[in-house]
Amino acid sequence: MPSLTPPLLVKTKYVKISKYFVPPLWKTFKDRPPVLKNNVSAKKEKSKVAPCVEEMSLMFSCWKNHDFETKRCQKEIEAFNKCYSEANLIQKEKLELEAKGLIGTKGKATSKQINSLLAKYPTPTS
Amino acid sequence: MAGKAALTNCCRIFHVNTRNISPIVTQVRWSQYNPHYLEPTIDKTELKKPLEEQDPRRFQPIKAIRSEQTVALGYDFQREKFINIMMKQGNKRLSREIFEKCLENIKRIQLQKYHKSEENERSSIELNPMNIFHQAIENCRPLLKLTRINKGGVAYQVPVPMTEKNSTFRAMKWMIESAKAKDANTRMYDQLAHELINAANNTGKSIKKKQELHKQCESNKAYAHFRW
Repeated sequence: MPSLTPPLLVKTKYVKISKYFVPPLWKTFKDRPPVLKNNVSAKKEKSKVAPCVEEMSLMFSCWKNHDFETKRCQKEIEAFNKCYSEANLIQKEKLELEAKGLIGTKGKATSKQINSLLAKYPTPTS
Repeated sequence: MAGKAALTNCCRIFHVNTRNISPIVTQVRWSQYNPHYLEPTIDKTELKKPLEEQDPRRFQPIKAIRSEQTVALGYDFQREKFINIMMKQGNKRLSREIFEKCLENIKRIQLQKYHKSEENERSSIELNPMNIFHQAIENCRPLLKLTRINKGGVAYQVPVPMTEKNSTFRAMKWMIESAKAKDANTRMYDQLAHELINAANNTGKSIKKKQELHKQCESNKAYAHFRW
């Protein structure tokens, strides 16, 4: 067991932080040791940014200029399709890694991934 | 009669063609196969290749092919899909007949054009009706669609990219719909032939429908970042 941090247990003056009663730290840690848990709370992923918005807007402006004839905007359409398929691939890889419980090289780890890692390598208790 | 009524009552998950009573019962939806079953390979070049050691086709059961799938030379996936979408009440014979007559009409129209035109222009006229059919689908295919997404209690119409499968279906559906909007005297296969030729030349009703959808997407472009 790691040493209990003495400053936490020092009785301090009650400081008004909010209008509701907030128990001081020494009270919350009185009965249980300050050790990190082996799991984090499940969190919904924050809404991602929609991919290829710029390409889409370029395509729209081209369509508007050329009276919505798709044949004249082949360049913009190809760029949009390419961007979208790339974004799809990245998303697919991420989902595959998540299903295996691995963390990719890019981006933040999700709560699920962290939990699977913590289950494999729990915090030492002694 | 009692037997017929009993048949229609008991077969709720099946569609029974009651107009011409036959023992053939066609399934409407849902695959009854176990998910372990694999799709059959119909591609001839794929079939000629030797199977690998760890190929799943060695160990897993394979579905029976559908009635329209063959390894015959003239097999075309899009053609069979089109016939199936056009079909009403499981009457595939009629649907296939309409499609074949439509191809015949296209050939006739294109040959007339060919013989009327001068010799230097003749090379630009497409005479193969199947090529015209594929070109028409390619031209009709929409790139985006509108989906309803709720954000903060307000429903927004958000432009979203379409998958290839979905856009092909939309294109075929539009072509069939625009061929059905006709006089009572003109036949479906005549109208469909004209529609396909027009769509292959980037004109006609179904192309208009595609452009309308694109216009709607353009007017809702401000919500494009709401996609997910």
